[in-house]
Amino acid sequence: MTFRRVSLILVVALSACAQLPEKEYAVSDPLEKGNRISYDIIELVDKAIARPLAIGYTRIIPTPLQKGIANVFLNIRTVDSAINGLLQGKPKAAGTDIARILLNTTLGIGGIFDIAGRMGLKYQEEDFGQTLAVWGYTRTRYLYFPIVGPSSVRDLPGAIINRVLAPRLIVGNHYDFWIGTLDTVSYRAENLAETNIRDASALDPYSFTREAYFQRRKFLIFDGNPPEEDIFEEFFEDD
Amino acid sequence: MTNSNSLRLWLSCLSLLVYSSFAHASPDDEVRDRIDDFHATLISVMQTNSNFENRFSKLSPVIKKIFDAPNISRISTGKFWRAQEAHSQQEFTNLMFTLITATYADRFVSYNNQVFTIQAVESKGKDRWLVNCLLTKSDGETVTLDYYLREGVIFNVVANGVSDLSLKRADYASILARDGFDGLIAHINQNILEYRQQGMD
Repeated sequence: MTFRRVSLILVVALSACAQLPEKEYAVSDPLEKGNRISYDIIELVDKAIARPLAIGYTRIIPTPLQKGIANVFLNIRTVDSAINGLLQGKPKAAGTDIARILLNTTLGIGGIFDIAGRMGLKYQEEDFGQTLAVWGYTRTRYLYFPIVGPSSVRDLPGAIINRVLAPRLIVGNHYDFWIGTLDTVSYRAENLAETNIRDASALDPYSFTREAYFQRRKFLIFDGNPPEEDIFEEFFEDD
Repeated sequence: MTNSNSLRLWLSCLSLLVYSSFAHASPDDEVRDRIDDFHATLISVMQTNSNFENRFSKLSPVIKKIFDAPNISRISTGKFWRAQEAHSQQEFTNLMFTLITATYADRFVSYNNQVFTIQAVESKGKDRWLVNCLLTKSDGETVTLDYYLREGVIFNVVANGVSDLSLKRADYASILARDGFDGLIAHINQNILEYRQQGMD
């Protein structure tokens, strides 16, 4: 029985390693068929519900109020960013996030006003997926997941913590269905510009989103300074 | 020395000075000036607040001068590029110029105190350059823009860590595999048409 369990664990572990890209941070999508189905379903739901709600929200709610609502939810999620800054051994980034939380929660009235941002303390945008990457988990497979959208095997737990669990843990029962809905609609509204650009530019939006996702993650993992060693070599191998 | 002789001497010195100042403009400065000019055109296009076609015609000559459409076309279509006749490659390159121009005409619509700042110009050897820029919007939000140049022309723009050329290559790969080179051309033409139609709305 124990042997069977060990074998099963080994098989699962080996299949998790299989089909991973040779190159660090490279695009890997062995589950493309399933991901495309997931993408199509989520897009249908988005076009039918989330996007119209987000558009309506941006038309009805005045821009400063939209910004204030988005700031409150960002302030809550900054706790997650601060913890991950510490886990990655970045005391300066974690300190910046903690200072943001303190300033924006007090002087910024619960995070409505981004006082810290005006003082040059920018949100550090750390998450558990980046923490795992910093710890050495640099090769991962793409996943397109409901609610979360583009993600990966490495990034999915962190995304669920950030999007779903963190606000409930921090705010408690006050984060009910309606506040959760407001959070989701506000988040979708914040991303309208990006998805509009994708819809206008992409010939195959699925591939476009996947490529953009992996590049953006690499950018965040390296705090905006990813190694650029390979850009010229990648495109001009013959030179 | 007569007055006319001294004037001639003075003019000669002045022209020598002007010539030498141009002669000593470093390649860094030339690359910086090119990107500055491009940004100035984008700002000017936004400030005119005109329709899509006007923005397109104002941007077109600048895009032709500063973007490396032949290499963008070659890299984004990969092995399919080599299989094309020279005239097809030329047609695709022209289409790429139109697509890049339409994309910029679609994105840079109205001026709202956006500021472009060049932060660094870095030589990468073999006539290759990386120009790091920052676009600051009126609400303080910033977008990092990295321009990759080869032989004085841009072949890649990386915005907030996302490479436009890599996106094109990934996007086109699946279309090429499914619909072939002619299919890709049809898709790009449709894309340009949609930009124009949206611009008329």
